[in-house]
Amino acid sequence: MRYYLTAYIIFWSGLFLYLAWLTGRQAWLNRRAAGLVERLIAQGERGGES
Amino acid sequence: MISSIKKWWPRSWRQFWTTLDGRTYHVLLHMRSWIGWLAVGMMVATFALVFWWVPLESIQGYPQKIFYIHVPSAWLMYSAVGVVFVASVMYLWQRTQLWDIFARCAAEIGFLFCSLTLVTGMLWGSPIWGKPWVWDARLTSTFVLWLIYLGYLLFRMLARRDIEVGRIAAVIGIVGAIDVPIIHLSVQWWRTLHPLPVVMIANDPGGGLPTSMLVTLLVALVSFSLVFVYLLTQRVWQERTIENLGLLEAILDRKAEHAT
Amino acid sequence: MTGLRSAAAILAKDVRLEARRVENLATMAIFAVLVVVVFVFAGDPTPEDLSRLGPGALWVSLLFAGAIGFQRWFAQEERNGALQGLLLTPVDRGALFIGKWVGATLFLLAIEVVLVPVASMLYDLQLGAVWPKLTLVMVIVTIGYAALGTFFAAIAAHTTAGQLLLPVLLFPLSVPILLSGAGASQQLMTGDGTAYWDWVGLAAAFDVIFGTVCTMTFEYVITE
Repeated sequence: MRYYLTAYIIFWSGLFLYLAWLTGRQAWLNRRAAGLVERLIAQGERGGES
Repeated sequence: MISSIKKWWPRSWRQFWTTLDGRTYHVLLHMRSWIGWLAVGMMVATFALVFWWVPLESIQGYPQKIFYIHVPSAWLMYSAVGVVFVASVMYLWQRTQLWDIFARCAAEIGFLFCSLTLVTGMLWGSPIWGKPWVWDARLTSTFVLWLIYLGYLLFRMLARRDIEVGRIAAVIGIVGAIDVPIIHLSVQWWRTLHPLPVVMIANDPGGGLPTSMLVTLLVALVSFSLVFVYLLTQRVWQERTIENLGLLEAILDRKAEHAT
Repeated sequence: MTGLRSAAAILAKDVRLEARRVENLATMAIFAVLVVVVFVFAGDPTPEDLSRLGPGALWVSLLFAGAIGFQRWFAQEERNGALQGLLLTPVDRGALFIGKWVGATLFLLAIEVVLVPVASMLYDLQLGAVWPKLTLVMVIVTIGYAALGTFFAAIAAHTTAGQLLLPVLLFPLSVPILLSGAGASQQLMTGDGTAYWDWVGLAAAFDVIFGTVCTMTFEYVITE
């Protein structure tokens, strides 16, 4: 029973750690994309002024 | 049915091989959240079956239940080797970034599941063999495969920035994949020519499996395959997005420089 | 066969270079012997253990000497842009690989010429009747190991930590060839020798496979 539960806990934690890393990377990616959009908008506004 | 196949069928095979066909790739990417949810559902079903439905094995008892994550992990690890091999060959042939990304992401996921195979195997071995590690043929070849993946990923990390990393990594991926069956063969020889130091109980759990266990195993295999497809497409999509974002940012930087 | 002729030219160049600095090879041979000696200290074996440990220590020291050597023999091309010069010549990359491969094999064999007699003396190995067979298996294993070693030295040269990465890449992939070599020598030293030819055949098959794959893919490994 002990080994059985340990194996399942390790398996799940391994999978979830990878998923957590993937999600964190996704969040970073979203922030980066948002920054890019802001820059694009700012550039459009500046372009409109000139 | 036929119309949907026709819709997905690549327009030209040349385009398909170079970019995995824009549409095929997009269908895969748009399906990936569905695949993800399906994978979650299947995983829940698998663990429900393992925890409540499948009967306890009479000799081994609870540790035998590790079988239902151990074997699918190993299956996933070998699929990842296959993906790395195919993607590496395709990259050397077509030199499109997508294949390189596929190889990289598959190697990463393969390494994860190789580690999980080893750990669950050791935890299964502890009560059954009396010790976590014996130098059995399958254990040894899996461990060597783990080391090859490790070397592959380390090379990717440590490679100098002024070279085409993907090309050399593809070569390592190909040589490594060719080595996998060779290692398996040689290790098996090594272990059959030497007397076995440990008496193995239930060394071949696949033979003569009762129906309930077989069903559980099959469900587990399907759900693990779905998890693999989901993780791979998600990772590939991320890497693609990172590269595209980098390109866009570089363009914006250049424009900003021009403006000043 | 211009390919073979250019391979021979590269080999001749490497041999001449090593011959002018014999002290390098000598130092590596001493290193290999030292590994064998340190093995005795680490294990503190009884006389019976010695002959059992002997072949293993021999292979381990060969493995280590190779890991150091391949790096050196390839790194000398990187100095002063010699590799760029070699790549500018219209030499087939496969021929280039074969030249370097044969060179590495010869240098490793030169180290073994020193290593094996010393090790057999220190470990009290009875080489009297089996030395031709032992030589055969050593040569075959050295050929395969040198192929993989040269190949991965070229790969590791592309990283910031080449010295560190080479063994990590090389050792797992040379497991089959090492296993068949160790199997054959075990048969010679302690076994009845029946499976000796099986192991030698296996090692020779690995030589062919690794040699072919490495020669064919070497052009992708080396930077244009």
